[in-house]
Amino acid sequence: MALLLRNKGIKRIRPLAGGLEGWRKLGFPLVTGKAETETEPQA
Amino acid sequence: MNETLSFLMRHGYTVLFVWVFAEQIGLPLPAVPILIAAGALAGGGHINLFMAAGVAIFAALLSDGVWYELGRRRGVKVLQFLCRISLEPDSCVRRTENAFTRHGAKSLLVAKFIPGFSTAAPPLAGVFQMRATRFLFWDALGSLLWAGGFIGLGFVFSSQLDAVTGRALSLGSWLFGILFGALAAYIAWKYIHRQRLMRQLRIARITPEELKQKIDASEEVVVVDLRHSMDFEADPETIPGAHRMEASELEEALHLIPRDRDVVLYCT
Repeated sequence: MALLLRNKGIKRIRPLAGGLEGWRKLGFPLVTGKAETETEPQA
Repeated sequence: MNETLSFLMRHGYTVLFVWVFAEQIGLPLPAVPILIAAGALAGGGHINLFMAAGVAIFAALLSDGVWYELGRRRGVKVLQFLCRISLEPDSCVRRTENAFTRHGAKSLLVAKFIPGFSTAAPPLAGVFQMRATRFLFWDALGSLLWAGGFIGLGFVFSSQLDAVTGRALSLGSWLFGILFGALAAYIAWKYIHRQRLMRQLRIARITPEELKQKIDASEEVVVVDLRHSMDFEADPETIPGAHRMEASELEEALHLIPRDRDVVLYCT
């Protein structure tokens, strides 16, 4: 997906190393349920 | 080349079985020309039409069965492995999951006509724990459509194919060289292009620690949770403030993505 966006000209794409699992393993906070579902990223 | 043709005539069923099985198991061998050739051979009376179709369907079902069972036992890792070795690994898993979510078992009916999806669909049926009888039914129908369609095409146009084969034989090894060279160049170009982009993305990758610091410092950063809805249902936890989107929605909303700040993505 990151490659696709990069190909579309969006240059400041930063894949999260290790994904959600990497974040979780470090004990960083998580929220349960719906995130800001189907909202515009700029909002 | 004449020796090759006579070899095909002598061992038509075996070649057909091995070739179709190899293609369906994931080797980069196009089976369609062989199916059409088998149809043409049947049209010329060298092999039996129904026997050829039966052999091709059996070979396809056998390899699909192997992938289905692997999908059942090993889960989504099998699909990830298959997509990693495909020519379009970046969209392969997402495309396959989306097709299966939309059409369910019926997607097996057309899977063999779609490059990439052909090998990925059977393990996905296993991943989704589809009943074996249901899988066999739809996969057999799909195999019949696919193998029967192309063998039938070769059968109907067998006389025209004779003329094409004659012309190809007159061009001899040059034709083979040109076709092989074009295919090799295409695969090499895709590989080099992908490696270059992957290198750029490896550099741009953000660590969880760095992201946490940015969020804590209230820096302008957009976090997007791109997990498939099935994955999200299985694990509904997400990073605070993350925008959740289906990958297909993101493609449609490209104009909404800010260009002046970092966009952090995760899809696993």
